[in-house]
Amino acid sequence: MTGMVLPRLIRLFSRLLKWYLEELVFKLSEKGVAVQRYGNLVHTLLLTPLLVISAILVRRLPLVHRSPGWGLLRFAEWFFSERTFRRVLLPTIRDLQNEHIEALAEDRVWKARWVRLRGSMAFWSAVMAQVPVSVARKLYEFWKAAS
Amino acid sequence: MKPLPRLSGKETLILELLCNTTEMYGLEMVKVSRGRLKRGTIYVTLNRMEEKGYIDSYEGEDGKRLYKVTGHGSRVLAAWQAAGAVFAGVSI
Repeated sequence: MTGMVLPRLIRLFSRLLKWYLEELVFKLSEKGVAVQRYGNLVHTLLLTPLLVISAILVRRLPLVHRSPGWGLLRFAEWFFSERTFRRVLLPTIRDLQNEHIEALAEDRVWKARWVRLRGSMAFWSAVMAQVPVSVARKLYEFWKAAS
Repeated sequence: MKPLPRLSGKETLILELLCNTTEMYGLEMVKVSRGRLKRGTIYVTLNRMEEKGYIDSYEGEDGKRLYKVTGHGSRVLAAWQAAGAVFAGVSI
């Protein structure tokens, strides 16, 4: 969630900063040199903390994004056996990631979002279909070991 | 006597698709099947079929899993289709 919100906040913040700088240049050119000295001092006082905050935020901005399905992958790896993970859930997530990348490469952002949603739904369908099979297999193994 | 192998509708479709080509990806099968196979359940079915020995799979160079039909799988499909053809002519 933070990974999605933070870049948007930073983008908004940089837009505000840009607007502020444009206003500053406009006002200085409009009011002339007499006001410039006073204006410069006020603007420097305002601008410095803004620049410091923006620098901190930019440093926190993730340069490498996690591919979609990263969390699902971790969940599947933890919850299911190695075989089920490799044969059933990993291919489902790989399809989602490949289609997502293809859509982004074509600059089709909405298609990429749709692919992400559809891929997540496919993953949970696979989980729902696989859970009874895995549980039955485990029960059979326990029963066989006990008898 | 061994029990006769049974094939579900999806399994029959997958075997038919794989018999027509050499190898296929899971997603490729979904796209070719025109909605009869679903993204969410295709790999569950493929895994089950692999356990039964109908198909075989390996990981390709691009990391995607490729599926191909085994000799046992093609024989089961042929027997299933033959049985289907016989029962298609029977009227109750």
